Parts: sequence; C-alpha cells; structure tokens
Amino acid sequence: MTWFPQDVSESGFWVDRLFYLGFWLTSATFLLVVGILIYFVLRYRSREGHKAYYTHGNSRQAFLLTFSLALLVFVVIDVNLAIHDHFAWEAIWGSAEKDKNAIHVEVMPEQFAWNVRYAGPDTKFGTEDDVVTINDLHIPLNRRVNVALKSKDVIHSFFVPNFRIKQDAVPGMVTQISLRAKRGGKFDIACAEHCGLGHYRMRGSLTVESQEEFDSWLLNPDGKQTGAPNWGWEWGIVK
Amino acid sequence: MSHSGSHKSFIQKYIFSTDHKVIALQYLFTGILFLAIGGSMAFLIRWQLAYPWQPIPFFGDLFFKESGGIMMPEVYPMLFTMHGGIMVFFAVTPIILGALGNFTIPLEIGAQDMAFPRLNMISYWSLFVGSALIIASFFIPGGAAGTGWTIYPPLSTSLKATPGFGTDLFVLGLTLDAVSILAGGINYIVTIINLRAPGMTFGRMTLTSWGLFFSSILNTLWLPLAAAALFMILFDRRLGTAFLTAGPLAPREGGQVLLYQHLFWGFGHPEVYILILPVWGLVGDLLSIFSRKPVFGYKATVFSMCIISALSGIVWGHHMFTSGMNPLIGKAFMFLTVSISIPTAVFFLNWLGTLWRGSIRLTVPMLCALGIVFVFAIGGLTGLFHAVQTFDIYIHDTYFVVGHFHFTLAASVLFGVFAYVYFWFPKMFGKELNQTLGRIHVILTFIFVNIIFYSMMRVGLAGHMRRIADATSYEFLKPLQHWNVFMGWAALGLILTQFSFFFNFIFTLFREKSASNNPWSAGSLAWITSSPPPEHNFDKVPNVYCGPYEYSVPGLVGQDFLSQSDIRAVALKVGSPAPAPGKPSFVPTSKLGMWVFLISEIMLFTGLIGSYIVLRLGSMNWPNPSEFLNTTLLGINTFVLITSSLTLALGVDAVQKNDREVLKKYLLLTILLGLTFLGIKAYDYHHMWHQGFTISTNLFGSCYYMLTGFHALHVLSGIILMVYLWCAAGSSSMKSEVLSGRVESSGLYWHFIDIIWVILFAILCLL
Repeated sequence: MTWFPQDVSESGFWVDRLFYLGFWLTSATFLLVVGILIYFVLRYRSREGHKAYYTHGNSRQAFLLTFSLALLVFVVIDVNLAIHDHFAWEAIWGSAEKDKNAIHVEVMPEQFAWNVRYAGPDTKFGTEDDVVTINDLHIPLNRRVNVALKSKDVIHSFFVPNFRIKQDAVPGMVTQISLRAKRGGKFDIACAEHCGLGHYRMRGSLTVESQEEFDSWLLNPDGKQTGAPNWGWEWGIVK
Repeated sequence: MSHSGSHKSFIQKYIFSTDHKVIALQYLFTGILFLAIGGSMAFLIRWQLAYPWQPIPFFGDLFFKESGGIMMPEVYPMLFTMHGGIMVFFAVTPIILGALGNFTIPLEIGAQDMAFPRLNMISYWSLFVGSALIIASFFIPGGAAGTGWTIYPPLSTSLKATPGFGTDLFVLGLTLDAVSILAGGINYIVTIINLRAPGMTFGRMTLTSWGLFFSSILNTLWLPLAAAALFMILFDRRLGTAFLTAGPLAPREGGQVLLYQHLFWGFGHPEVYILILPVWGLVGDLLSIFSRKPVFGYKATVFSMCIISALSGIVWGHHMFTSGMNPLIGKAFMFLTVSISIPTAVFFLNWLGTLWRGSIRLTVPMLCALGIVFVFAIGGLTGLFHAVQTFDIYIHDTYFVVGHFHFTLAASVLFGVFAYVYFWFPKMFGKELNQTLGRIHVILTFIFVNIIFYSMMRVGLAGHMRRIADATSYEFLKPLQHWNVFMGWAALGLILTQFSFFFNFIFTLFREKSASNNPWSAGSLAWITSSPPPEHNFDKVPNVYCGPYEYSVPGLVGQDFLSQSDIRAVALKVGSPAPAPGKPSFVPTSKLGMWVFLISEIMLFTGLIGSYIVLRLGSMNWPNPSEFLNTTLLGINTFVLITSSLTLALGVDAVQKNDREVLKKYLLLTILLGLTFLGIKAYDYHHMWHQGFTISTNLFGSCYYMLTGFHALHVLSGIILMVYLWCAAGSSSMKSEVLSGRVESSGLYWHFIDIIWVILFAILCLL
C-alpha cells in the first residue's frame, strides 16, 4: 500500500523516501505534542479545591529548556531532512548534464496542449528532419532524456507524477527537466500551473518503450509533423 | 471633538463612526458576510470535484440556471480565484486585523481610542469600496477574475488570456484592501507605541496585542511590495507596458515573469504570519485565562514572535522551487525556511507549559484555542515538507499544498476567528453566546475541517493537481475519485454546521443584555470596563500595576486573579506602582504616524525601483537614456524640488517659533515650487510623447513613465497637503501645537518625496 502513484523513474524513489522519513519524524512529534496536550487537559481539568500552580516560566532554566528542545527538533527533523534532500537532489536533478548519451527533446506548452519536438536523425533542432507531435511524448527505457521547456503563452508546469518531478515552463525563459525511466508503460503528463479555462484538460501522454520501439515510432510518420518551422529558441541558449 | 455619544445621529454613530469599537463591528460584519460567500464557493468547488459537470443541488438552480444547474468550465477558475482572494483578504484579514485589532488594542492597552480615529474610519471605508468592487466583478460581462488568487502573469497581464474587467476589478479591490490594511497598521503601531496607559509597559501587554503589533509591522514592510506588483499588472493590462509579460504574449521585448512571483511572495509569505501571529497571541491569552495560570515563558514567546517576523520576510523563495529559479538559491531558501521551526517549537512548548499544572476550564473559546494548537501542529509540521526542495517539487501545486495551507491559514485562522467571536462577544455586545450551541459548532467544525484538509493532503500525495475542475480524465487520479466524493459531502457538513454559529450569533444579538463586565474572570484591562464599554472605553484612564496574566496568585483572597489595574499587585509583589501619567512620548503621535507611513512608502518605491533595476539588468538591449530624455530639463527640475525642500524647512522653523505669517509665506513658496516642478514635468512628458517616446515604446519608457508618474502623484498630494496647511495656518481655531506637529510631519513627507526624486533622477537619467 503506497500513497504515491507508481514510480517508474530511476531516482524517483528518493522523493518517496524523503516523504516517509519526514512523515515518521513529524508524526512522532505530532503525537507527542497532542498526547501531552490531551494528557494535560484531562489531568489538570478544573476541580473543586484545586488551584493552578503559579509560575511565569520566565526562569533561565525554562528558557534554556524550551530553546534546547526547539533546537533538538530542528536538528533531528530539519537538518536530517535537508541532508537527505541534498542526496535526493543530486540523484534526480544533478546528473542531467553529465550524461553524454542523453536524448534531447523540446517541449513547448501552449493553452492547452503539449507540443513536443525531436531533433530527428541528424540530432540537430531546427532542421528539415525534426519530428513534432502534440500531447504525445515517447521516451526510450533506461536512457536519459533531457527536456527543454519554453512556454508559448502563459506559465504551464510540466508534471509527470510517475517520475515525481515537475518544472514550470515560463515565457521568456528556457527551463529544463530530466527523465530516466526504468519501467515501460503509458503515463499522464499533467499541467500543474493554472493556465486558463482548459487547464484541467491539458493532459499529455508519456509512453516509455524500448529503444527499438522508440526508434521505429519516431520514424513512423503517423500523427506527426516533420520539417515544422523552428520554434525560435534552441538548446544553445540553455544555461 | 464632542464626547457625548447621545447627540450623534445614527449615521455618525454607526456608519461614519470614528469609534474603534464601532469600526471593529463594521469589520466583523463585513468579514462574516465574506466568510459566508467564500465558504459557499468552497462548497461549490468541492461539489464540482466530487461530481464533475453534474447539476449542483440548491446552488445550481440559484446560480447556473441557464445551464441546467451545471457549472460551466469558465466558472470554476472564477470560483477558486475568488474563494482564495475573498477568504484571505476580505474575510479573514478584516476579522483578525480589522475587528480583533480594532476592538482589542485600545481596550487592552488602556487607550481611549486609536491614535488617528478618522484615519481608522477611512481604513474601513476603503475596504468597503474594495469589497464592493469584488462583489461587482461577479456581475459584469465575462465575470470575475479567473487567474487564481496569486494572479500570476502573463495569464493575468494579457488581455488575450484574461479578457474583460474581472481581473482589473479584483486587482483594484485588492489595492483598496491594501490601503485599508496599511492605514489600519499605522494606527495599530502608533497606538501601541504612544497610547499605552500609565504603567502599561511593553512587557505587560497581552500576547494578542503583541501579535497584532508584529503583524502590523509586517504589513507595513511587505504589503507595499505586493501593491507595486499589482500596479504593474494593471499597467501591463491597460497601458500597453510589459513589465511582467514575456514571450509571445508580450507586445514588444518583454519584461520578467518571475519578477512578479518574487514580489508577490515577498509579501505572500509574511501574509501567513500576518494572519497567524495575532491568532497565536490570542491562543496564548486564552490558554492562560482558562488554565487560570500565567502565560508560560511570556518573554520567550514574544521573542519567538519577533524572530518569526524577521524570518518570514526572507523565505519567500520556497514558493518558487519549480519556477526555474537557481537551485542553489533554492537551497538557501530551504535552510531559512526550516529554521522557522525553532521559534515555532518554542511557541508550542510554551503553550504546553501554560497548560501544565493549570486548572483547565473547557469553555468554547478554550476549545477553539486547543483546536488551534492541534490544527496548527499539523499545518506547521506539514510545512516542513514544502521547505524540502526535492520533495516540494513533486507536491508543488498539488492538493498536498492546498491541504497544508488550509490547516495553517484556514483551520487555524478560522478557529482564531471563532475564538475571537466567542471570547469577545460579551465585551462587544454585552451579551453572551449560547455555550452549548457554541460547543456543538466548534467540535463539529473541528471534525469536518480535519477530515477535509487531511483528505486534501492525501490526494495531493498521489499527485492530484490543484485548480483543476475535473480529475476524472487522468489515469493516475482515477483511483482517488472516492476521496473527492467524500470531501464533497464533508464540505456540505461543514457548511451546514456554520448555521449553528450564525443562528447563535444573530439570536443572541436580539436578546436582552446579560453579560457581566468580566464573565471570564480575565485579568487584562478590557475587562475592568463595562460590557459594552462606554464611548471612550474608560471613564478614567486606568493605572496599570502588573501584567495581564496574574492568575492563581499565592496569597490572594476573594478571587483567583489580579486585574492589571488592581493595586493589590504591589503588595503581593507581582507588580510595581504606576508612574505618574502625562509622560510625553518619545516621538509625537502625528510624527510617528508619518514615519510609519513613510516606511511603507519606502517599501513601495523599493518594489518599483527594484523592479526597474531587475528589468534593466535582465534586458539584452537597454537603450541609452540620453537618446530619449532631456537631462538638462530634468536637472533643472531636480534643482527646483531641492529648493522647495529648503523653503519648507524654513517654514518648519517658522512654525516652531510660532510665526504664522512667515510660515504661510514659505508654504506658498513651496507650493509654487512644487507646481513649477509639475509644470516642467508636464511639458517634458508632452514633448517626449510627441517625439514618439511613450509608455509603451520600450521597457525603459514603461519604467520611466511609471516611476516618475508615481512620483508626480506624490508631489501632487504633497501640494494638496501644503494647501491644507496654508489654510489651517490662517485659521485662528487651529491650536499652534497641533499645527506645528502637522507642519513637521508634512515636512518629513515632502523631504521624502525630494529624496525619491534625486534617486530617480540618478538611476533613470545619469546611470
């Protein structure tokens, strides 16, 4: 039983792991606080002849105790999570640039669809053999796919829940996201940033398949445009 | 000013009142009305998600008659936009800041009214006009704003994406609300600093007052940034600029889309604390009163409030982890954000410390306070997940965020609203709400909000995006639909529960007077006066001898608490004799008010000038200013304005010597110089416009006209101020110390305008 959608990415498990770590730590803290709260409310209910203990709790000991407990919470939960976050970040976002074998894909969302562009056999964008699809992103298994995003109109957000990642596509900027799948199948691409009336139906499809299937899909002209005009932005200007 | 209330007409007493208690009620009723409107919208949202595109019971016939009770796709964005905007700015803010702040601050610190009663009245009416615009926006063609309450450009700035006037009215309504909040904040800050009763030291203020104080400071500092951003949105929409619009939707070379997000969250994150700090203060007060124990760790609590206020201004970036912001900056924001858990933990520990060995009474306000501790524990702890960059990227813009901020902002603050109403009702109206009905209301509300907001986080973890009208078409969301159905019914339960509150409220209002002066046996100053208090709160300003939390003091006989004005505190060694009244304040009230106002002005220009710098640095082809500007003319104008500062300084000198004729002479001279400045400015604008350099020529033109235009408006209002002073100086009924105070504060304002101009001249023309 998991609370997350199926994870098909290579390093998305880091996100789940971060959550469960945080979940157990914060749940323990929560139960402790609420437990003490309920205990105090029951134990110290007002009764005949019982008088509250008069203290302002302003003593140096009380001050030190509260601040050291607070610091303990900070170290045990916050710093702990931050350290795990560092490794998770490296695994999910840090390795995109290093992979020399990566495929490059341009995604240009518009109200309310995902335009996808492959460089084609010559691996150069803006040439005659570019392949353009709508709402249909295919990627090969076990291979890194670096996606460059730039919006055609308003802000959209490229969200693939099964990969545990999302990235805004911001007009005037080129942003990047990186995918690497370890399981095949067909998944949803959702827009996570409100982009207008049709935001709720801005749904794309992501197909993960073997390299051979991917290659033959790319060469098959069905449902594709080729030689479409350049989108006016290139990988070159990506920082 | 007349002090006898009986001579006032109904309109003076209840409509255009300057009495802080009446104004508090105006805020309260406005807030409750909008709470009902925003709550109904929440129900419509939940029902649409539960049963997409199916007829909605009751409301469907009411609002969507032409479509057979079915919500149309264009309505849904309006609903979640206006639900957010209304709840945050027109329901919760008016109640927590407007009503709670107005009603309690003067009563709790022993003041007879706010420092600036007329400004206080204007604050409310500014909100009123703002709310009228919000309501009106539903009835115009195209309907209300559908941009999301965050109003992100370019969706909000492009008329192609959001045609009609809904977005404009929303932005204007928010701007008027901001004016209301800022003016109110000036009043709260100055009142707290200058109008405390003799013996009411800062260390003897209630935590509610402290919370409101910090919250007002945060508003003064950060709200102007949002105002700057909102102005730029309006400019982009209606004046052809492109400050925040980029990409194909921008008319020319675009500005920067993310600039808006930085400005918005620069205010938006402190906004959470603006609303929660007064509520935390209230919780501290209530836990102490109903445990019959002093607040545990008062100093540490106030210190934590201070730290949280400081931190809240530098953590906004955690709202932007997915925006394409540099991840290293993201890491810094992550660490700053999680460090907020230290002062927050201190809060929780001190709350538990207050309950420890107390004598706890589970009254309705106490139930609310305990409820807040519970829901804020969830809200605060789930906040950590959002600070952690890698995890936040997954749950950003999902229902996990929505659930989280509803625990903090909706559940906690809503219980704060209820705690305020149940606790202060006897003092406000002299009547007591029905406790049984109150218990039922609070407990059921507690159950429903927890169910709904927990479920939101649950579906959010599974990836459920926010702001989608229909989840059923997504493969990964199909298994979750039963949660949406569940939440729909729970929302119905929550709405129905609120009728017990409205019924209780209205029914009690029409009952006979029943409450005593101090039904809760509370120690703070508000409870020594009658219920409801007389027009100027206290027949005689009380002396304060001890803090507000002297409960169960050993050695006390007859009752278990000391009122702050109870002189027995001295004998029992828990207080000290009050100083003689009439100690002059460190900074005179009118001057202090002007300083607080100027701080918010500085922040507004920081937002505008900062945006100019960011846009200029980010632009690839920024023109040479001398191509367009007549630097000589602007240089002459700089000289004119600096001279006017000098003449006004001589006027201030004259008023201090009480020489009104000389003052009038210098005021006149200043007015003339100011008019000369505006005249040259108008000529300059006219000339450049005809040469083809307009507000929409390029980014530089937009920045130039916006910055100098805002400045010219300030000069104009300065001139109006001078004309008023010139008239006042000629009136014999004007007391000289009042006149002197006003001239000095206006002098501050005028010098500020000059400094801003010098900065603008330097960065626009010379650099």
